[in-house]
Amino acid sequence: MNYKYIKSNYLVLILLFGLWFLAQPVWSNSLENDFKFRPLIEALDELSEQTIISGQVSTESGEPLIGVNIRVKEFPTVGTTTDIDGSYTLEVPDGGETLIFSYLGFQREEVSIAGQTTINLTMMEDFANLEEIVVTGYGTITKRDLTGAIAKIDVEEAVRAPVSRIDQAIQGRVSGVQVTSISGQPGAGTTIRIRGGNSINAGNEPLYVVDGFVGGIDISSLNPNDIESIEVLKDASALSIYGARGSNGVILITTKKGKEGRANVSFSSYYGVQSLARKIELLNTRDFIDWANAGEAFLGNAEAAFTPEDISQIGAGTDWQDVVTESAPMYNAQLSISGGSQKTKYYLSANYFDQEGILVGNEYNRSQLRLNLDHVFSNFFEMGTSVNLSRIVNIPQNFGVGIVYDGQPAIPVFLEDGSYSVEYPINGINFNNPLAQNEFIEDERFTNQLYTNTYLQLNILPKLRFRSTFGASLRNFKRNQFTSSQLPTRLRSGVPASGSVTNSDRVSYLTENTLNYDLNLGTRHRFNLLGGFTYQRQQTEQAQAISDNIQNDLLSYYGLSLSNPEDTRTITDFDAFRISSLIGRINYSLADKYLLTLTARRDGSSKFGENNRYAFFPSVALAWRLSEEGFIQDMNLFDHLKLRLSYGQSGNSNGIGSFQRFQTLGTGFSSIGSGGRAVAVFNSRLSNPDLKWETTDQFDVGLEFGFLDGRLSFEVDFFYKETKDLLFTREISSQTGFTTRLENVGSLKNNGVDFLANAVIARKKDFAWDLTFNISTYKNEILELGSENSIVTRSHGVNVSNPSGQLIVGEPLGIFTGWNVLGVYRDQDQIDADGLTNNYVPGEFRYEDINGDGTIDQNDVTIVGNSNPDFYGGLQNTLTYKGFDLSAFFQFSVGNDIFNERKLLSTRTQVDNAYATYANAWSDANRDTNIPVPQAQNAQASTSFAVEDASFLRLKTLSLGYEIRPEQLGINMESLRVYVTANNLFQLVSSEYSNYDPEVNTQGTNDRLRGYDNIAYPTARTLLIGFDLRF
Amino acid sequence: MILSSISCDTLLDEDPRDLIDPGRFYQSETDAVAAITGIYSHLLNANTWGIQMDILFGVNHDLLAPTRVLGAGQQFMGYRWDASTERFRVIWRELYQGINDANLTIREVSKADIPTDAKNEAVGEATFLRGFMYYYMVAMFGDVPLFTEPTTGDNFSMTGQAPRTSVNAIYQQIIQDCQQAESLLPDKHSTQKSRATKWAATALKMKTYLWMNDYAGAKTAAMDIIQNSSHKLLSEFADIFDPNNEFNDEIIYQFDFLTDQVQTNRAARFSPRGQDDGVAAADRPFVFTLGFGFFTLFKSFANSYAENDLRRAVSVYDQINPDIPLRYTYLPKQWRENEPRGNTGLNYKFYRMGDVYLNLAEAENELNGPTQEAFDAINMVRNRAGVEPLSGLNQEELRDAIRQERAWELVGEGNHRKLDLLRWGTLGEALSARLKAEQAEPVKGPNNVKTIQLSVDNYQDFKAIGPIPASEILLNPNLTQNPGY
Repeated sequence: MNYKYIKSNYLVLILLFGLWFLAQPVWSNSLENDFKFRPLIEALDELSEQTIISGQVSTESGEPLIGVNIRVKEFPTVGTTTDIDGSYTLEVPDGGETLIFSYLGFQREEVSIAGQTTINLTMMEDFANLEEIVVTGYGTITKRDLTGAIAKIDVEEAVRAPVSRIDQAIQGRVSGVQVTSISGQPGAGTTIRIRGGNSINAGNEPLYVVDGFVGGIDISSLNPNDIESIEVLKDASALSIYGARGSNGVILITTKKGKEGRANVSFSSYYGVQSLARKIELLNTRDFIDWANAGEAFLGNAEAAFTPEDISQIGAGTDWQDVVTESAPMYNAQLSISGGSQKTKYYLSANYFDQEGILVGNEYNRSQLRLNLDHVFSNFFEMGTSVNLSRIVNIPQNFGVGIVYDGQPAIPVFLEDGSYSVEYPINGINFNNPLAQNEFIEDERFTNQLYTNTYLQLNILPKLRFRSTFGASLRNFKRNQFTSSQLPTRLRSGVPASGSVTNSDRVSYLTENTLNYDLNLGTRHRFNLLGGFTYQRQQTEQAQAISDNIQNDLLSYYGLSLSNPEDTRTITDFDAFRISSLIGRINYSLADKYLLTLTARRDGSSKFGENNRYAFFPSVALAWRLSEEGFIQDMNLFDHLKLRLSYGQSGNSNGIGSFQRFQTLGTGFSSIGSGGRAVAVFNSRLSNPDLKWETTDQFDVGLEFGFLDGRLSFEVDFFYKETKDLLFTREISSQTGFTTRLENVGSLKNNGVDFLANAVIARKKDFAWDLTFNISTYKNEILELGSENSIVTRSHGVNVSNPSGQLIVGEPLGIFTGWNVLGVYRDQDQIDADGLTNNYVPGEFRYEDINGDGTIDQNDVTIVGNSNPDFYGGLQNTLTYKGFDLSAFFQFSVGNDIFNERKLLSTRTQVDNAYATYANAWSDANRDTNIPVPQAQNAQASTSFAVEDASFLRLKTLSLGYEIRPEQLGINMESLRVYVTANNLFQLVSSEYSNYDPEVNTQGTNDRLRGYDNIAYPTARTLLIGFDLRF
Repeated sequence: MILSSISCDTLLDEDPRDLIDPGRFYQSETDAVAAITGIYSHLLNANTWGIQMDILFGVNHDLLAPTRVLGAGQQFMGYRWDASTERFRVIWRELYQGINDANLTIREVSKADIPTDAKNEAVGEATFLRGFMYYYMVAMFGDVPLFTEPTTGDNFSMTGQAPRTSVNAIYQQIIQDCQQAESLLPDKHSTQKSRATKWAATALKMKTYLWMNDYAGAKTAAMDIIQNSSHKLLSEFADIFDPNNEFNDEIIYQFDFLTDQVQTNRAARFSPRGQDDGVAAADRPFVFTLGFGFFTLFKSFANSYAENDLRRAVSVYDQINPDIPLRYTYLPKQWRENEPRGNTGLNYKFYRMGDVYLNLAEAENELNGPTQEAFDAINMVRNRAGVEPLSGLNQEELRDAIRQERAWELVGEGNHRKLDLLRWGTLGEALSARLKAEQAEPVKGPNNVKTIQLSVDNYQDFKAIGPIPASEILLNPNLTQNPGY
């Protein structure tokens, strides 16, 4: 629609950038001058006797290593880093005997001073990255010292795929983390299950913590390119510090900060074209007409659905998939400036992301700005702030995706007079023409978000730090809707225009105050102690104005006041909760060999009933660095080897509404003879003073090991989780005047294995090849459902209704149930042979009589599918050769089923199209088939026919880049990389699978209904070109 | 600084600002009225008198029958229900919600600081409605758990496990509630016209006494209404049903339905269906527009009216005009001719003076035999209907005459027929008699016979009262099931 307008903006942006580019030498010089500084931080301890040691650190190939961390083992706070030549000078206090050299990507070295004053060192590469910093809850730790199961994501690889939200980028990249798109729509969220689902009604989505801000930040507001690291916390040791919100796993997102040095300016942009990755195979016009006519014949209707005259009139017919999909552009532009002095560091970025949907009429864009600023005032006092500002505009298409199936090929888009066609030809009922819907319905959604988090840190003692943060996240959402009276279906029935405006406002505040103390007792005992207090409040208000009868289309949704007062309604809502918590953690390292972590959090929440105001979540973890033991070193096999054990508790309180614990009255209306409606107030909810969180107990055993200098490294974790106090809306004896109450009943368990392998196949100067592979599996079982043995979560059927989704004790979450189809009755003889009491006819389904009672009924409903995969994972290949880099990322899932709801409605021959395979439907002439006759009456309930294998393997991202060296261009820049990327280039999908993407769930994040596929927004295949330019 | 307040519990107090806290709500007269309206929202409701009660009491007797028995409601017609029949549970749930709302209103409004008149009206009406709902609970289920205090989070497990209370104890409670309500309620409501008055409470008391066979009590209550209230028999029977004057002096208590506001489908249930009758579209009056022609009168009953009975024209619709007879016999009391809406605004009439006079006649006849007072009472009603007065009957003959008179006078209104047959203990015989009468009649369509046949085939004496819903017994094992189920 305003695509041209946006494109011209884009061009202006590039032009501005060009101007800036030309002026760049001037600016960067001035920046450098501005940020020159005098080193201020001096040695903290005045020491009387010191030895001065100097030297140089280099790699095996002789290149100097800049920024190597050197500290005195006996005095952990005394240290320095190497400069640009790899040189260092360090004053070692008396008593210092050993220097520790550490550098990311290199093996840690301990060198005995032994009277030397010059120590030069050649550091060996460490492919296992043991010195890598891993972000944990309320802190950081090196991978070497880590005791919990925390996965770090290679963000650089992850953001190669063009994504609107960062959660889409982690799909397939972390072991134990299953990420499912809700749909292929731009900006669509995901469903994330970390180590299976713990909950049935309280939600299983992980907690997002962005730069320490717990919850309250919508990750759609983040620019994926601003993200420095993502860690996924999986075991109880890592999670218990997030207490009553931790049990579904925690995703820690850390944004980029400026680094000391000159200003780094980076501009990057890409432009891509998206197209339908896979088309649903449906009947063509000719086959559809035969199908529909066969359906009418089967029903015994003398009149054909389509007469020969109709057929000649219809001609080629309409392919609705072609009508509603289009190839759509997406682009992204990002500018960032970062740098700083020893005192002040800054990171500033601006981003514009625009994606049109491949369904016509759908648009999504995000404008975003971030500033991260850190400043050291003195040895004693540091401060910093983050600000993120974003605006998302989301305009959905105004028709359901199901139109691709609902749209009969026999319906033209336009009638001969040029107007939209708006009725089904067979029965004359309303047809919602998608193009008419797009023209006459408006629906615009705007989300503005401002997030800011400020910290101040007091270094009370060199080893004792107090840090206090205060953050606020503001989110405003506005939605405007209007349906014109000119919408053809409204014109037909004389329904007037209607509209609504919704405004919601969410404010979340968080303050966290922690005290952190490093304590070393002798050289063998290292402690890190953390204690803290956090307090959070979130409030949401919403107001909605609705009119069902707007008298004039002229003002669209701004014309709500042009309505009869009785057709106008206003709805206001309020929601708020507070959480007040104490946290504590002890990390203890004995001789760098034995590691212990004790963690606990005590959460108080305004959501909990007054008898359960506080929740306590402890955990303990032990790690044993076996590779430090002589007997392992003697084996000369492992480069590193670590065994981890953890046990602990975490909770889930998502399922509790803020005010759910309170007794409350509801409102409605009735009549008392006053000539109109009267406001009615009545009991609506019973209080529950015992209401509380769900608790997950988790046990984890992990083994990390590496060979060949860490060129090959592996990580495997076994876990067992049991969740109790599951929240259920339980039926209660209704003589109380209430029918249900939210209570903590029920339990379930999960166990499984996460496996991760990293291989550095080659890392030479001109050629490198890295490979990362992860694979995971889990088993889930419902242990208790309160007083029930099974609960039906979804049913299907026209004449007879069968449950398709059930919760059954002893079975996993996400099973499908129905009648098991054995085939299609080829003839009456076969029916007679089965001798069922049901009056089935040839061409209808033949079902398994599970209980053998000679009749097919509810008692023959059995488990016919399972939406949980046997295993899933991903494979990342990264190759570089000279200036070229190639990245290929595969993702897979095996053994999971989906329930194709379209296969239940397949007998609606008068209104729906049908799958192309249905051309092979049973008929007198075609008796040996597995497709029932059109309008088969017994095919309309839930059956195994609707269950499809949704296993897949896909090449999710393939990217090829080339780095142009500055000298090749002869301009003043650091680097320029150009690349092409393909997303969803190819996929292997089971031949059973019928729809767009086997990895979707049209029931969203609902845990009672997993793996339902009612045709979701199609996934796009994207081809894009882009560049990253740095100065 | 912030650490100092760590352990302070007030940090966790979040004011539930968009919730209505029952402990703080009742602050004004308006709030008290909203609470009363809240109780009515359970009564003018699809689960109760919107649809379900209208079916349960509407056709399972000897005057009206459904033309077909189908859909989800089929178990509910023709006595084919059992303990798992969902609709009994739906009614049970809705009425207990209403009872709990009444209990809460009584407790909270009694404490509220509002003008005495408003307080009395609200407490009185909630008390009356509690009695009214228990009156129906007993008629449907026999012994049921009795509560006079609202349920809270603290007492709910006890409330939920409470056993059944005997019918007699509940009658005592209803009488007590009526007396309490009589002392608090006004004679008349001038603006909120369908709210219960003192006389509605007296009428309920009269009915309850009849169930208790306390004929003296019933007679006193009836006399009280006749002598002391402003209610009187309208001189024209048809005027009772004047859609433009629904709040007329005849009617003591009714529910005020509003067009299209409550799901009821009542008019569609009762108004005629063109295709059933084979009437050409051009000949169909407006009332046929939404008709489903579901509930129809038995022909043998329609034909039992005396030729000059003025009530027939108001109660029987079997022809569009003499040239266009209809196959079925409909009940025009239950529709408004110019409002062919399923969700009709026609009020649901419970108590009116014609009923009170007949109850007086019945009480007097049972108490003192066929006295002049008894004849006078029934003849008040007969005179208005334009039929000759009765005299010279013995007690038994007068009893039968009163029972027949109630059918003619009150057919299709206020759940009277089924309640009467239950009270008299004659439901089974009445059904059989109707089947016999229908077979003797030249019935035009097969369905009337079929459904009465169904009722007779499936009716057993234990089905006079319904089952305690099986799902409720699962949730409260202290509930016992009624015999037979």
